[in-house]
Amino acid sequence: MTLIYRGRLDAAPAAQGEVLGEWDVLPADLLPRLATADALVVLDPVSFPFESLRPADWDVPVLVSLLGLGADDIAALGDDALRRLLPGDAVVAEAAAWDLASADRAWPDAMWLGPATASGVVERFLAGADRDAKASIRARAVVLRRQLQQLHPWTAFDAGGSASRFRPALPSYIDWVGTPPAAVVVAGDLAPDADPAALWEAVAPGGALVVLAEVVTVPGGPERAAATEVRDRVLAAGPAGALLADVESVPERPGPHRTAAVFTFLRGDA
Amino acid sequence: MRVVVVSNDLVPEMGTPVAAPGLRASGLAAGLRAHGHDVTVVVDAAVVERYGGAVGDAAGVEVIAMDGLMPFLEDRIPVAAVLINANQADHVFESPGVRFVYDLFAPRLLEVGQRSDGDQAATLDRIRTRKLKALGMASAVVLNGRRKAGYAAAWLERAGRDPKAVPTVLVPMPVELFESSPDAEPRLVLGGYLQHWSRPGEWLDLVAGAAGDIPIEMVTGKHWGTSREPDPGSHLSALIESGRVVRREPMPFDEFRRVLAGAWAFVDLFDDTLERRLAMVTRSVVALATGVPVIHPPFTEIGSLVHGAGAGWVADPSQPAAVSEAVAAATTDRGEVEGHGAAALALTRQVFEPKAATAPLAALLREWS
Repeated sequence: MTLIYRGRLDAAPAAQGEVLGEWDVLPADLLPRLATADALVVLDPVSFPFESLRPADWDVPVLVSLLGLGADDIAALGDDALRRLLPGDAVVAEAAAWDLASADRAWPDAMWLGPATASGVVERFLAGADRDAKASIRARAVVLRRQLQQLHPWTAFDAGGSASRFRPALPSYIDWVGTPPAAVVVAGDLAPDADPAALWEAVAPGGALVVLAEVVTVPGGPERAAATEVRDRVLAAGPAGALLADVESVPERPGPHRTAAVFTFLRGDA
Repeated sequence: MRVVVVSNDLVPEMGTPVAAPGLRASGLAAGLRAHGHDVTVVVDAAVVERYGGAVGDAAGVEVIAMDGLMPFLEDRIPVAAVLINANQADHVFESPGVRFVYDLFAPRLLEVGQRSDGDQAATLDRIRTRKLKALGMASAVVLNGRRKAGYAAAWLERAGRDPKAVPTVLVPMPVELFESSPDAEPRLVLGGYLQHWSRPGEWLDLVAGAAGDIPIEMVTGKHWGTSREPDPGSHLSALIESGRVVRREPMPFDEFRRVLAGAWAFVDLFDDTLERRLAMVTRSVVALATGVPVIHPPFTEIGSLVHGAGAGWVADPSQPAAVSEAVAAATTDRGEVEGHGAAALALTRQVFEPKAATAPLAALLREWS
């Protein structure tokens, strides 16, 4: 089911779904619906109660329309709404509004659907909306953010661009440099055949290597290295004093599974 | 209101050499007392035993075995017990009427990450377990620098807490003023305990070179509680062997401040690492509170304060010209040094003086009483 919040607008719904007005989104009504919704389309974000959403409610793919909003409205939406958007979500906006909203948020261009909520645009978003995929990105981003916050890096290098899908959720004080070395190197997806030695070479003295890896083989899925194998492989490729400082598994939703983990290695004797 | 501060190290009132955690405990106590709280500092008897030397009695300081900490707290019923770091987390547990404040003082995991002596995995496990327990029980968290806000929030989440629901207050390192003005002739003081993260690098040669024949006193020794001798590195070893510096062993805190007093600058440089970026470098705070300008890297929070207040010179240790210029400035113009020293004292009055530094914590404790 898609929830379409038209709020105070008279506009007809742009796609198939349950249309909600501004009296239909009291948290007691809205939150249970969000828990099972396939997607959420917010046509009137200024009156939508984003502040009521709990972290897990953001697993739902969200389309936000910024049409007709000024800079002040967009700024006001920042804390409760825009700061939460990730790849898997989408924004409809005039070009200037998109530039304003996306500045410093590391949103990929693919999140911008253009300046109109014509039904074809919304339907294309809904066709691609994948709640599980969004939840997976969000869960990984939360753990990656925590691990990075523990390090408080001033520079980071995104090895292979693999962390880009998490970037909007990562600490904004990090300066993502285009070339190593960096205080922290992030490998957002450690491929089974990747050589960790190349990652270590990018880590500045006294720095850290943060690795996200899929570590549990799901029945019917691809074979994956166990967490201990990932640890040993990365440490074996590192300098003599390298050590595993922390590892945190990623809680998946739906269900109790944990198939990924974020490893934080320190360079040690730099 | 009665408050207990639990120190994981010796405190300066004991007349022994001290380190940052003991200064922290003592400074918090001084500040809270200035706000009218009745403060007892508890020092772990095992720490005193390990020290092995003579320890003086001090008013307001009690040495107790940590298996007696909870009975002590349940007997005294303070409005809160403030834990400096999480070393004593193994010895505390939930008890009606006992509130814990966790002073998330040092980025311990990052400190351990600077070592390579083989037992880090076990040490990291122990630190993590204690930290999570202390955060799980904490009614409030104290931070000594703004940069630790995200660090603390991340760890609170790890402990299953909502960071927004746990009061978190900023309490910079509280250090009493010890006013001094520069000696007639230039003199530099360099160092502090040699730790695994000190990394005395090439900048040492630059400091010695730029200082010419100006006296340099070096207070660089091993903390008594450190089991392994940190590697001084080739630059420090060479400097010591050259006889160019007057080397002093660790000394009681009052004596350290007398050595500092009148110096034209305190040199506190180190390489740029994750650990150093998060640290609130105590030795520099002590120098500032003694009216001694510091030469400090720009990349720490202290560096920003020094730069903003004009309380010394910021120099990136990886930039030879910057280090040489800072040393030259600190050893040639007494008027400039005097100005920076006055700014250091003004900064201390505003930020580090115990009553000012502890005001947010004192107010929080008052709310609880």
